[in-house]
Amino acid sequence: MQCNTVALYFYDYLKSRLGWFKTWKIKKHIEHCINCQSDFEAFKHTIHILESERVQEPSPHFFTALPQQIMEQSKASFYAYSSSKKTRWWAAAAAVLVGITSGLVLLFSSQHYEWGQSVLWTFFNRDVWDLSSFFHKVDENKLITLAPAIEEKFKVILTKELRLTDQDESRLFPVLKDFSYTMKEYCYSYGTALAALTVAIEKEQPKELEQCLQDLHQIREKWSNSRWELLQRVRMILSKEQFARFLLFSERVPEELRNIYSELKQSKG
Amino acid sequence: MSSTYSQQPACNRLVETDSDLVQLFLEGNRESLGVLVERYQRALYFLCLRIVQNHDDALELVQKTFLQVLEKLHTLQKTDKFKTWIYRIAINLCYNLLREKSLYLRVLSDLPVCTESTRDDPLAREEEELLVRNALSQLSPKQRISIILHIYHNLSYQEIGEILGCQEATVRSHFHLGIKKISNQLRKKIGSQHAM
Repeated sequence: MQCNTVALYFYDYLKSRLGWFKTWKIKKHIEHCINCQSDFEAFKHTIHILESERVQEPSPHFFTALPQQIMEQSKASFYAYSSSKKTRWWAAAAAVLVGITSGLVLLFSSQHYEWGQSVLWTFFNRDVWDLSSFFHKVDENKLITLAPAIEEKFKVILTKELRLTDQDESRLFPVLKDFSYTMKEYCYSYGTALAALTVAIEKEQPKELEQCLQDLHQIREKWSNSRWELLQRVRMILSKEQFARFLLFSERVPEELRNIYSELKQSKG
Repeated sequence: MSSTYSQQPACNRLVETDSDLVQLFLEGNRESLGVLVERYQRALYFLCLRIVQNHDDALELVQKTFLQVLEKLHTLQKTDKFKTWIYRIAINLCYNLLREKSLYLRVLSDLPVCTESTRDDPLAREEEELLVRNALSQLSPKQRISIILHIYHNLSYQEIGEILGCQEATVRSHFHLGIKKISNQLRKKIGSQHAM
């Protein structure tokens, strides 16, 4: 071994991190080479000083507070980023409720389609009424047949629109799918609560009426929160630009669905 | 209503790997980010402190590092490389700060002059430490980072290579040359004291 090569392994030799053969070779070399002996001694001394260097500890409070602070910041940064959209989402949520009161009980009591399977329902917001009208007008049997194709096509459009990579897709679609379950659950709960409300009004039961109103309020609140959570999760997955595209895309979901449906209906006769 | 509304991926801080925590965070679990912060904050603080050599700056840099992590985590392609990725962010921030403060090129004249009391004796321990610290700060960034990460953070040459964007053998060379330069400065100083 040459001196230059041996020197490269000084630290590993010092820390006994080398295999026995290399250790033996370096040991032999150092024993017989005066220059390396001197260099190794100097090296050891320098390492010793470096390792024993004392540094200032921060206050324990800093390490206690930082995780919380960063977690808060993660929340704040999202809110700051999308604050301009916030009012629109609330407006959207209000519109959802109007739509739901009229149409969703019927729409989601339908047993001929596995809603939870579909990414489509993730995008319901202000246009629920619009969508429910649309699905009421279409041929149910045709819709059942076309549902998987619609979903597939929808994913393709979304991937293209948001310029999703494979990794983005693998992160985003499960989140959307999860949300579709939440959506389904919400619709059933809301429908049930509305039905109970109708009964309470018809039978003039003030106590039950109050209970129903409270239930509806809670359901709506949870729904708003879960939509907000979805946006946060999506925001964490997508870049700012993709997220902006996501927001824009969600505005024209019904239109896209209509187009997809018409296209598929025509192509499959 | 069932549990779907509160459904969030669970976070087990003891067994989760960095990669798992990153994945959980990307799926919306904010607590996992807190675990990552807890896991890396001390190491990053000492890393920043050793580079910028200022306590307040180091604290600020740790915060900045995590804020950048927060902003760019979704761009991390290989989540299992989180450790080297976060170290790289911290190091870049440190050198940005040093550039801003023009401390990057610290000159030899900054080195403290020996006092009368220590002049006739071998270098006092504190003085040696100061000298080594100064010598360290004069190394090239790659030599300095290799030394700091290898000695104080137990990072392998390969991991350091990932951070610095070079081969393992190059890191080994940076490390060795850096230590050699510091040793030479120590020798020179001791030699000049003996000559007096």
